[in-house]
Amino acid sequence: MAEYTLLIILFAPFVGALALIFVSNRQLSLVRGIAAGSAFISLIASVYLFYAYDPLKGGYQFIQRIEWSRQLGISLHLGVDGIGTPLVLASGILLFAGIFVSWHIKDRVKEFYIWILILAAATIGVFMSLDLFFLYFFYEMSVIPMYLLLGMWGSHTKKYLEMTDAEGLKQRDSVGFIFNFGANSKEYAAMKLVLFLSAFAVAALMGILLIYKFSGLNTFDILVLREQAHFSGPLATLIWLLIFFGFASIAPIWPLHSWSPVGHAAAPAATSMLHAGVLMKLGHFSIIRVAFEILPETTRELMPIAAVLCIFSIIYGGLVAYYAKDTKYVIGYSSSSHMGYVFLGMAALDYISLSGAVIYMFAHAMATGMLFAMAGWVYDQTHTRDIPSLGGLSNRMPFISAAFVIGCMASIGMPGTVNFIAEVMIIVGSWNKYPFQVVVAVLGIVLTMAYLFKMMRGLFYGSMAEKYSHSHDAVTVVDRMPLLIMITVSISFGIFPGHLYSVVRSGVDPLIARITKVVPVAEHPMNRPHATSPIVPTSASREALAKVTPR
Amino acid sequence: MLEEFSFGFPILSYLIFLPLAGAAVLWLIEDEDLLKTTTLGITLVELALACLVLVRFVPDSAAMQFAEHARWMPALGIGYHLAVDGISVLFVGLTAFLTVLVVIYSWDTVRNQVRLYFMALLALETTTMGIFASIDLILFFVFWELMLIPSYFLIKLWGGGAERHYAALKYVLYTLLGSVFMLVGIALLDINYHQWAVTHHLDHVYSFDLLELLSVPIPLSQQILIFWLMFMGFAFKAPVFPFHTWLPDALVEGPIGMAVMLAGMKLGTYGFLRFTFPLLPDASKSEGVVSIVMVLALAAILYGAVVALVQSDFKRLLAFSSISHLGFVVVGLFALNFQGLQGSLLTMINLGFSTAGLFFMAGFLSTRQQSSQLSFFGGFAKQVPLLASFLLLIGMASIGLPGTNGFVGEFLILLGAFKAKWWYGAVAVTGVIFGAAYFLWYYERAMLGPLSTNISTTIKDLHMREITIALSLSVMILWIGLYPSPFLRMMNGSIQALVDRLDRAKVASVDTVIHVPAK
Amino acid sequence: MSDSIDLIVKLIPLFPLMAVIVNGLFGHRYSHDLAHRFAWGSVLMSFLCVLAVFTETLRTGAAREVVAYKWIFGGDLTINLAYLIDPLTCIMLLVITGVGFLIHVYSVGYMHGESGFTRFFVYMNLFMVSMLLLVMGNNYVVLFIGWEGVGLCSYLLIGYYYDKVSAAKAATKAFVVNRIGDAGFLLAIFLVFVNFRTLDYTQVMQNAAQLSPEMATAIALCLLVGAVGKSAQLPLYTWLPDAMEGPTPVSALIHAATMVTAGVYMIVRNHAIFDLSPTAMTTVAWIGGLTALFAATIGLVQTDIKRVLAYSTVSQLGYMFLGCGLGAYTAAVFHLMTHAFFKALLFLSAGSVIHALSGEQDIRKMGALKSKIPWTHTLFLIGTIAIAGIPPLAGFWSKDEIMGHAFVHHHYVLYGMAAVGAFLTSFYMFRLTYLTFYGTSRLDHHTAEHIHESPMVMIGPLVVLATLSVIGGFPGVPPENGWFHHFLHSVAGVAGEEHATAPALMLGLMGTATVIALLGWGLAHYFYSGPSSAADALAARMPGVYTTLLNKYFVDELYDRLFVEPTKQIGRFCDWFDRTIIDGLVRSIDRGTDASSAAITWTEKHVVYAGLNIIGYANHLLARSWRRLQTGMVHQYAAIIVAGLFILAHLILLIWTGNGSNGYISR
Repeated sequence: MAEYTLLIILFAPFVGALALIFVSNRQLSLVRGIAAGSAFISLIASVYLFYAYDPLKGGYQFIQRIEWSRQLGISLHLGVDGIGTPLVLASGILLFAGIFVSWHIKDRVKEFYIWILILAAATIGVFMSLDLFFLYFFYEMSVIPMYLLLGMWGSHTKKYLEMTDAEGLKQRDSVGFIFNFGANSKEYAAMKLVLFLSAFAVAALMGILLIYKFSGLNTFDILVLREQAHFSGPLATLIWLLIFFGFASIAPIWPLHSWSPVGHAAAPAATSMLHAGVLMKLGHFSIIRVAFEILPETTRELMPIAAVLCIFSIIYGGLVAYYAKDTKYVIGYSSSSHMGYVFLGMAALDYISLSGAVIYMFAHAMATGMLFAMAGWVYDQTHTRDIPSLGGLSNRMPFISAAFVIGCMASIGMPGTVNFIAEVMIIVGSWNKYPFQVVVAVLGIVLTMAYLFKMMRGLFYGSMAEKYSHSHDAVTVVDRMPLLIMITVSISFGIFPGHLYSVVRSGVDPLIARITKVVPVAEHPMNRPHATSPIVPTSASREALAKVTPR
Repeated sequence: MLEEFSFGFPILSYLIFLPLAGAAVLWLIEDEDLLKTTTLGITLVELALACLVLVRFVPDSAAMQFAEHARWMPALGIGYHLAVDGISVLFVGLTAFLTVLVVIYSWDTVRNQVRLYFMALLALETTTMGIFASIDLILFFVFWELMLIPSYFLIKLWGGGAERHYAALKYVLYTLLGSVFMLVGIALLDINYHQWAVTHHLDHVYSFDLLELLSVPIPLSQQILIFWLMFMGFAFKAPVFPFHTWLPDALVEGPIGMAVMLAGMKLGTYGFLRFTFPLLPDASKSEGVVSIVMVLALAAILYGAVVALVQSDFKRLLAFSSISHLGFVVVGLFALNFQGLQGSLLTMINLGFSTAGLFFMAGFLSTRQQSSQLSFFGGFAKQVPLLASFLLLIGMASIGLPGTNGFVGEFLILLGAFKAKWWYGAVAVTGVIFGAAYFLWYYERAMLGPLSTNISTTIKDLHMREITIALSLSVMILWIGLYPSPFLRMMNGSIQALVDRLDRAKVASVDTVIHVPAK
Repeated sequence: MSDSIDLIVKLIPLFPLMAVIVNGLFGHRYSHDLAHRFAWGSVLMSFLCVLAVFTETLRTGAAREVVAYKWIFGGDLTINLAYLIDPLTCIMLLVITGVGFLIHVYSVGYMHGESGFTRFFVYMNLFMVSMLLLVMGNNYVVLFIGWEGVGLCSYLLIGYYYDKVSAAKAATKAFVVNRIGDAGFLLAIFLVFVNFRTLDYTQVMQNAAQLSPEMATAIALCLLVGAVGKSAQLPLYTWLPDAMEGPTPVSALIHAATMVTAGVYMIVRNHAIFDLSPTAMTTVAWIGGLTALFAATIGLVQTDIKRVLAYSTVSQLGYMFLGCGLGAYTAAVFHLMTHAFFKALLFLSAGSVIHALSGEQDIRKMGALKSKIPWTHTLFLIGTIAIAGIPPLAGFWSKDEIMGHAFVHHHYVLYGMAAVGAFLTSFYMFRLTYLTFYGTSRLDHHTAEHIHESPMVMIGPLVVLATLSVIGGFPGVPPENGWFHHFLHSVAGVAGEEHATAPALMLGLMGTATVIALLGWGLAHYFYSGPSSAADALAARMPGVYTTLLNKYFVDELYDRLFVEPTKQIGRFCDWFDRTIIDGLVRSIDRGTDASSAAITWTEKHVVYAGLNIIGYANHLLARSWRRLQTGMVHQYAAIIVAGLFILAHLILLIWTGNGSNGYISR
């Protein structure tokens, strides 16, 4: 049974989606049941995966290999390492939470759940693909549902609605449309997202095909390519750049980010959660999986590019978020700012920092998931995302406002949340190589707090407009559960990150060892006998301090 | 030996998490009176535990006592390591003591969202206890940061001023700005340890544990860098001039309870004593560092005092007097000799009674006249003689009158500063004059003279709860002032160890062969 | 025996302390009668203890150190709460507890019926505690407790009538000015510690000789700053006249007999250090001489009975400083003692006058009280004669000895100043007496009706003090060789300087002093004994001088202008600076973030977005035909996109692998 874990995680949502096709939209509870059920199966399996993954053994585990095209060297080769495992778990959690966050959707529920399930399954697929072809396949597959989810169930921005009253369409077609920041229709957002990501995906595809072509191994299998393919010179550089920028666009790295906040803003809550929570991590993950694994030397040479760009990501994204007046824009830009930390962690090519980056991906999934879920809730209740027109909601929704605080805290990396662990690791790991970036990053933390608190104040404190007096809190289990799940995960991993850390570390160690050719010094944490039992008074000597002082 | 230091149960953990558990219990209670009684009960139990620690603490010892050590994130070298020594043990008692008083004070002065208020207060106690009991730097940082959350809401939701939202945000951002740099500093300590550990094949390759970090040398240039990074964190929090502007806002706009905790808990300067000095002795005593910090601190003493002189709002005056006092504390710290350090430590404790006490007094004034502005007072002593007497007593402690606790600390600080460099002491001593001037001038205008016309004659003097607060503060003030021996003995051992460490020549030479304590 | 004496020593400050605690905590629960009995009773007990200790010291002649407990300690510093009992302390103790007791008794009558009766006695007892610690301490820090403690009590008692604005202001002023001196004193303590590594007198004095002269000067001058503040010498004397806002017993006890002499005590205690520094000694002497003269001139024209006495106190303290500066420490302490007697007497008699006149203090509204309050008159007159320096009363012996020292040490200018001061003293004191008790009555009607002699409880202590003022000088007779000198020799004698003034010279000086005093009396008699307008005429002839004196040389105004106002200005500036610059900087960071976020967002809108949109728009225009496919059907979208992608992928694959040996199409 255990060896099929990956297949269960991957195909449970697909199967669910398939099943939903045959269910009528009128059977609402059945639709929801199927969606939730399949997501639940996937979640349980991914939790199992996470804890069953053996960090001591390390490497790729739960490997499944199904030949698909021997001639082309394509096979459905699935397996997870320490990097993929937590991301699979994050996807599972967010999918499950997302199903419940969108519980109250009225319009074409069935289709919505179908696409959400496909989106999540495709994302999960990327995290477990060991075959370049399928990695790319799932990658593209995850983009398409976004188009539909945005276009069908998304929402226009307030500014856009103001612009499109009488002669709206005309304005949209006019040249004014070019400067449409903050005034987007959902269709625009969807189109932009898909075109943009597809365009860059083609670049990534080029890179993949170049690898395929010039490795001369006639295989897309990453494990094979990793061991046997050798690239050097301009070709390696070209491939690396294609791979890096192709995938970094979804991460999104500055300046390839502009699709993302628009997409977030237009998307329904569950989509935003999945989008910011896991979809964006496809970029980092794919870079790690493809560029780091197959082109280690080139990675060592070229990764400083990311170190430069990440500064812009962090500060630029933070500042736009600070300015934004739309809740989802704030969270969206904050996400793209935070992805800069991941790039920083990756760029330093250090055991600790890369582990930090991976944990950060996981942590950010929870934090941003919470924030988007709550922004969605507020939107559902008030039908606006415009911060200045909101306010004073804490009296109406105490639970949401309390959870929002925790979301903010998680997002800025407050100790006690898993984000903190990640931040510390990124700082510790990157300092030697990129002290300046670290300083920028920590300033970014302060900036994050500034805009998130600004938003919190705008939504929940101050005076409340009369028209929102009918908005209500999340009271039912269904409404509260997604938030509670994400909060619990974030905090429990924040306090007990041990297993998460070892899992991640087991994935990162061989990778960095290959790239930097430095053997990790840490003998494995689990092997080390610990110094002291839980409650042992340290030395009672009068000179305890002096004793540990070097002579 | 073991029995002497531990109770067979992890008392420090209890101290830290009891209030948090209490906060959770409050969630279940609907009745307001029961709520208050429960909170009081919890804080009293907490105080009893803290007293137990103080009583069982072995004085004249540099040892880390009541230590609890559990693995937390062993791979990263992060441990759940709690212990108190002479530097921190008194703060544990002070925190518990002040929280009880704040609960008593808040009994009838907090009217809205009572449950949330007490929960926030208990959460604040948890984090503060955590800060004082942690000797793992990350654990310390965890509590350090978590403290912001209850603080933010206490200021924002229960503050009295119109600008409280701004003040709360300013406080949080300011502290955060400092602490992120401190986090970098902590990371650098870890990195340094790591490099050392790798080259010397040590067991732990990463560590944030104070005791372990102490065992490796740090090159001077690195020390200086880390010093300034940590300085940012501690100086912003303390606050050291000129990073102080959050303080008047937070103290004036926030509720009295918060002001008491903020003014009473000298977290920033504690950080210097706990982490900066032992870890970075060479940087701490390097010429450049000392002179810069000393100049800032001396400026703070005078600046805070002269600004306080012209304040018409008592709370704002207290805020600037806090800044001035903080200047004294920092001067004592960077005198880097026994008297200076001892005096600073004692003064930090003292301010928990005197400055915090004055904030209670400001609260008493505000509940009577709805303001602490001078224009609302005048000849008030006639109406409330008891309040006026306590105000004078606590005020005298704050300006360092011999016989009160303030003197002992201030005297030692000044002596230490003078020993370090005579003109440090000479400049600082002028603060003594200004201290008397600003307090007494305010007192004269607010309390003395003929009864002002805008004071209603129905104003009542202190009631029982208020007397309890004022009296317990006064007892502490006189106790430490007249018989400080128990307090001094508790801190002496650790201070001596610290001084020894500071005095030792060149700790940081890399080629020193070190001995790591066997685990 | 020794142990019991130690215990008695410890009890001396403890009795008043207990009275403070009992009266302070429970005083409001019981009657005034009980409260004042505790108060003076405790001082009496202390006095008895002092007598015991004094007898013991007389017997053994040795100094005794008694440690109560360890107070502040750590590192190389240990400060005990410990007492040093030597002859100097004994004299001070006798004066403090003796005079203190009398004043306590007097206060029972004087303060009768005041609303804060118990509060008054609590403060007075607290003062006794502090003063006792001040003189008994065996180290500088215990001295400093007392030093500041008496300052606090002085503050409290000056502000006793706290609802009077002037009293409140005077109290603050006294405390703050004293603090300036205290700061200097603290520096001295630090210097002592840095040099000696101890703060105990005994060890410091033993090792004093090792000090370099510069260091000795530095320490001595810092000590002097403290002494000047506490003892109201130039330039820090301004608080003392204002301190007369307090009740009269307070003026007698604190601002005449005891607290203000603390500076003198401190200098004598540290004479080993002063002796090493001629600079410091000269400074002390000149400060003393100048103050003696300066305060006396102001005293000439004051119209408030207590203020005249206050300036007189400043002036007499100047004599003590002069004595110290000349190295005549015994003489200084001697004058301290006699001054305590007659100045307490004068103040208390003045209090009796004020009491009789229902609070009137202005001598212009008195006159011809001799017959109405005869006891008070007699007692006041004795005090006047004593302070004027007319033999054989106490003031003569002590003042003459100081002046004699000035002369024989060839400080003729100082001698001249002291002599003029003595003349002025005699003049203004008799002026005061004449204006108060003689001439025509200038009382207002209402006051005159209620005039009455004070009760026995007030007159009794006055009689004792008067007796002491008469005979108090005899322990110091003959000058330089009396019992007093022998007793104090071990602590206040200047080592190696044993010279005897020639008897003839001594007699000459004594005669001169007597003549000077009598001249002053004569002049006062001429001006004020009858309804003469000579004084007014003189004042009218020299309006500038008169106004200057009446306004105390405008020193208060000058200080206000020079120090107080500028400090407030600086305060206001710093406040502005804090709000505008420092906080402004923080706010500008806030605004800077706003601005840069706006700028970045502008870039986002006009560059990043617009750039992409232009591409998209161009594409959109080119491919209008594609619009037909937009049917809104989800499945169609999906199908088209998926199909498109696959075709694309296959095309690419085809192209890249077309000629390759491993391309599957070729297979």
